[in-house]
Amino acid sequence: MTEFLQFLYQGLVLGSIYALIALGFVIVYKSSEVINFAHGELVLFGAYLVFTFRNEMGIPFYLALPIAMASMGVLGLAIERTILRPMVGKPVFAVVMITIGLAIAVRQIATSIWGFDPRSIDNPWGTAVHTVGGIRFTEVSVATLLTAFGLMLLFFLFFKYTKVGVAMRAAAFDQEAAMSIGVSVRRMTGLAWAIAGATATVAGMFLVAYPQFLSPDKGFVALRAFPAVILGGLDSTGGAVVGGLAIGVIEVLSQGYQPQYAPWLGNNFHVVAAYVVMVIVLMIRPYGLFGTREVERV
Amino acid sequence: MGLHVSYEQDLRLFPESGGRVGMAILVVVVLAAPFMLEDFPLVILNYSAIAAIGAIGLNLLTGYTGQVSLGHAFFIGLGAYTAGYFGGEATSNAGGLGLPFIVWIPLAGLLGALVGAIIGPFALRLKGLYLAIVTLGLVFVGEHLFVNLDAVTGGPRGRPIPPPEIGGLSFFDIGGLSSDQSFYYLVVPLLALLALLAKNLARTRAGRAFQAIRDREIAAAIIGVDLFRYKVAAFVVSSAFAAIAGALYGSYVRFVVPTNFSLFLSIQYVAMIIVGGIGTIFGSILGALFITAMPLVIERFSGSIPFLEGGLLRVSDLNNILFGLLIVVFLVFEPFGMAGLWRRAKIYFKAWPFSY
Amino acid sequence: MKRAPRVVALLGVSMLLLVGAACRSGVKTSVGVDADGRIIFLGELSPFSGGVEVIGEPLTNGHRVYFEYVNKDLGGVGRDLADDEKYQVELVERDTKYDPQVHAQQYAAVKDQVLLIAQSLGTPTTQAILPQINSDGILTGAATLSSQWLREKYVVPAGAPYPVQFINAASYIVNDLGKTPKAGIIYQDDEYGEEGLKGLEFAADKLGFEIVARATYKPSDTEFVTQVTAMARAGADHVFLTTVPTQALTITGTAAQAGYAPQWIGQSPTWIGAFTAVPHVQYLQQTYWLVTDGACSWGEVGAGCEGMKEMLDNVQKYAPDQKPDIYFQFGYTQARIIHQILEKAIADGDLTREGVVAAFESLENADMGGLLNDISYGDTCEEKIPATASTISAIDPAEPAGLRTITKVDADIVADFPFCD
Repeated sequence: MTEFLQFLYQGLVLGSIYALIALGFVIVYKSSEVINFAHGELVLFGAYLVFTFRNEMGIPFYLALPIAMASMGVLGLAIERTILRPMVGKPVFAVVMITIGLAIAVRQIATSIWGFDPRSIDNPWGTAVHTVGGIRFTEVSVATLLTAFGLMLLFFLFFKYTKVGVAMRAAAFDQEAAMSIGVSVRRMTGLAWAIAGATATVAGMFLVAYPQFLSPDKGFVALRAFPAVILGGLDSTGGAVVGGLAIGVIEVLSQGYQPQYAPWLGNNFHVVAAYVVMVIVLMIRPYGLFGTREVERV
Repeated sequence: MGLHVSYEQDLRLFPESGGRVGMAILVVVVLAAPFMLEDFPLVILNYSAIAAIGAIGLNLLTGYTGQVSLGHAFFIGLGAYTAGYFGGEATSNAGGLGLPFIVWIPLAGLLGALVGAIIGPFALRLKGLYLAIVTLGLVFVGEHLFVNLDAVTGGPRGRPIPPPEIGGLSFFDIGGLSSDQSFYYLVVPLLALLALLAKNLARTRAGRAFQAIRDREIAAAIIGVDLFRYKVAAFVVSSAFAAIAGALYGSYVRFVVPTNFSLFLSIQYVAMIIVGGIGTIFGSILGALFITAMPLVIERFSGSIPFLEGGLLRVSDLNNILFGLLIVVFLVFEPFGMAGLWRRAKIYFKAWPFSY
Repeated sequence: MKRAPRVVALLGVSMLLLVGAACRSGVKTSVGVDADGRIIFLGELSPFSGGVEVIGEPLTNGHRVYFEYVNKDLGGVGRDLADDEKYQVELVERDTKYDPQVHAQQYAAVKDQVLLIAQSLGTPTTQAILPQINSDGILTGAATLSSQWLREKYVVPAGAPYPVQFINAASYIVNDLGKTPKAGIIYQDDEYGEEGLKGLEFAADKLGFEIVARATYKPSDTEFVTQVTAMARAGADHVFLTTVPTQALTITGTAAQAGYAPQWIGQSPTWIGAFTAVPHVQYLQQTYWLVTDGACSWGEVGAGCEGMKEMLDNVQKYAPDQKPDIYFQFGYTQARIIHQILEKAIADGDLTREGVVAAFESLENADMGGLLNDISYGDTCEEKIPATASTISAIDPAEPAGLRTITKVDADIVADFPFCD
C-alpha cells in the first residue's frame, strides 16, 4: 500500500510539471490557434537559462529564476513577433512545420552553447527528504507541487478577475468582437507567448531537478506532455491541468506496476502509455475531454 | 503556351510539346548516370530515389489531401521489418521466412496498405491538429512495438534485411557493375513506375477529390465527394508507398534498428514535401533529393566549409541549422517549394524577353 | 565500362608510388600513407554529438594530444629514420553519434583515405563495421573493452575486457572483504551489456554468490524507476552497472530518492565528471565504486608511472583546458599502442595495410610507462589479451579526476574466463 501511495505521490508531482507545460501550450493555442511543437525546447532552454544564471553567474536562486522567466518571456514574445506573424492565414501543417523547424533550431542552439554534459541546477532543496507515514517526500518534489499549483491558481485568478486576463480570454474567444470593444488582440497574443515562455522555464527547472538532470534530451521528455493537452482538449486550460496530472500519474504507475502485472506490454511501456490513453480517449471524444467541438461555417 | 482548350489537354502528362523532348533527354541522362558518376554521388542518388518513393506517398496524403501526418516513419519501419522478416533468414535473435524478393517487395506494400486501412478509419475521424498529434503517437507506439516485438524485429539490436535478387540475379551485382550501380537500376525504374502511378492517381478523379478535400472539406462533401472513403484511400496509398520505400531502404543498408524510424524521420519527410513542393509529384522527388543530399554533401566537404574548419560549429550542428532554416525559408517565401521555383523559371524563360 | 580504365590507372599510379617510395626509404606503403609528403592518415570514428559525446570528445582528445606530441616533440613516427624522413600523423575524424548505422557510413567514407582506424568507439557500433573491416583488411583500434575483439584478426584491444572488471570487483568483495553479496545487475540491452552480464555470471558461479535480480534497458531510455524497483524488491545489496554515464547518474539518483542504497559497482564507461557535481554526490561517495583498468591514476607520477608524467606534461603543453578525465587517459594510452604498432611496421619496412597487421601480431613488450602493463599481442586469441588487472575507485570530489583509488585487483580466476571460446 505504501508503495502505491509513493508512486501516486510521485505521479502527481510529475503530473503537476506536465500540467504546467500543458498550460503554456494551451494558452498559446487559444490565442494564436497554433500548436507550438517548439514548446518542449522552450522548456529545455528555460532550464538552461536558470542553470546559466544560477550556476555559472552565481546569482542567488530566488533571483535567478525570475530573471530566467523574464528572459524566456521576452523570447516567447520575440518568437511570436518574428516567426508567427508572417504565418497568419497559412495552412495548418505549414505552421506546424515552422514550429518544428523552430524546435530543431532551439535545440541546436542549446547544444552549441552548453554541450551534451549532464548538468544540475543549484537549488535550495538539494537532496533533502522527509519521511512521513512511510512515504518519502523530497523537498524538491514538495516545492514542485506547491509552485505548480500556486502558479495554476494564480492563472485562474488572473484569467477570471483581472482586466488583462479577461481581455485575453475575449481575444481568444472571438478576435473580431474583442477588437471591436478595444482589446488589442496583437498585444494579447504577444502576452500569451510571453506567459508560455515563463511557465516553460519553471516547468523546465523542476523537470530536471533531482533525481533527474539537465541535458539536451530533456526537450523530448516535454513531448510527453502533448497527450495531456490533447486529453484535456486543445482549448481548455482546466483540461490541460487535469490532463497533465492524469498523464503524470499514469506514467509513474505504469513504471511501477506494468512489468509485474502486464509484462506483455513490453519494456518501458510507460513512455507510450500516455499516448495510448490519449488515443483511446480521442476515439470516444474527438475533441478531448473538455475541448469545444468545432463548428464550421460553409 | 499552356492554354488548354480541351479537357484531354488539361489531363495530359506533358501539356507542352517541349515536355516530351525534355522527358526523353532526362530518361537518357538518368539511365547513363551510373557510368558517369563516382561512388559518392551515386550513393546519394540511390538514397534519394528511395526517399522519393516515400515522399510521393506523403505528398499524396498531406500535399494533395491536406491530412497532416507525422506518422510516416512508422510505415517506413513497417516496410523495412516486413522485408526483413519475410525475406530474411532467421538469425539468433530474430525470425525470418526467407521468401524471395519478388514476394516480399509487393508484400511490404500490401502490408503497409493493410495497416493503413486499419488505422485510417480511426485516425481520420480527427481533424487538423488532433490528427497531427495522433500520428505523432503512432510513431512512438511504432518505436515501442519495433523494440519489443523482438521475435520479428530483433529488438533494439536490430536485424539484417536481405538484398534484392530475382532468380539468380542479385541487384547488388549485375554483370560487371558495382553494388551501388546495380542497385540504382532497381530503385530508379521502380521510382519511375511508382511516380507514374501516383501522377495518374493525381490527375484523375481521385486526385481531384483529394484536392477538393484539402481545399474545403464541407464544400467537397456537398458536391458529393465521399470524404471518408477518399481520406482513407489517401492514407492507404501513402502507407503503401512508405512501406515500399522502407523495404528498399532496409535492403540497401542491409541492417536496421528501431531508432532509424523515429520522429525525426517523419519530420524529414515532411520537410521533403515542403521544400520540394506541396501537391506535386515532381516536387516530392526534388525535395527528397535535396533533403537527402544536403547532410551527406556537407559531411563530405566539411573540410572546405569556412564555419566548420575553425571548429566553430560541428558538422551535425551545421546540418541541423540548415535543415531548420530551409524549412522556414521555403514556408515563408516559396510555399510551392522547389517545384514552384522550377515552374517560375520555366515561365520566365518561355516569356523571355517579355517578362510580363 | 567505367571500372576498367580506373583500375588500370590505379595500378599505374600505385606502381609509381611504390617505386618512388622504395627509392626513398625502403619502406613499403599503401593506401592511407602519403609517401612523398610523409604523412600517415589515421581514422577516428567517435561520437561528437549525442549523449556519448561525453566519452567521445575526451577520448579523441587523448589521441589528438598524443599524436601532436609525436609530431612535434618526437619529430614524427619512425624512430630510426632521419628527421626529414619521419612520418607526420594526421587524424581523419568523423562523428558517429554512437549509432551503428552512422558509424558504418562514416567508416565507408574514410576507409579509402586512411592506413588504419585508430579509434572505433562503442561495442555495438564497432560490431556493425566488423564485416567490412574483415573484408577490407583494415586494422582497427577498439575504443571499447568487449572481449569479442580478442577473437578478431583486425581489431586491436586496448585494455582489460569488460567481464574482467566485474570478475575482479566480485573477487575483491568476496575474497578481500569476506562478504557474500546478493547481486543485482542493470545492463544495456546490447553486446556491451552482455559483456557485463557474462562477467558477473562467471564470477557468481566461481565465487559462490547469487544474482537475485537482472534488469535491462534500451540505450535511449531516460527513466529507470522500473529497474531500480526490481533491484530493491529482490533485496540486492550489490548492484552492478553496465551502462553509459547519463544512465548511471539517473539510476543512482532514482535509487537515492527512493532511499535505496546498495553498493553500486560500475564498469569504466559509467563514469563522467558530472558525478561530482550532481545533488546526490554524497550518496555516490558512500555507495559507488568505479572499476577501471589497473593503471596509474591521474596525477600518480611515482616510479613505474613515467608514462603518466609524460601524459601530464603533454596535456599542459597541448591541451591545457583538458580536465582530468579517465577517457582522455584511455585515448592517450590507446594512441600510444597504435604508435608502437606503427613503429614496428616501419622498423619491419612495411607500412602497408598488411604490414601494420603483421606488426600488431608481432608486437612484444611495448612499454606503456605504467599507463598499462607492457603490451604484447600475437595471432591467437589468448595472446591478444592485453591486461587483466583492474582498479577499484570511490568517488571523491577532492581528487583531481574525482576518483580515489581503493585498491588494485588482479584476480586469479580471470585466467579461467572463457575469452576464446
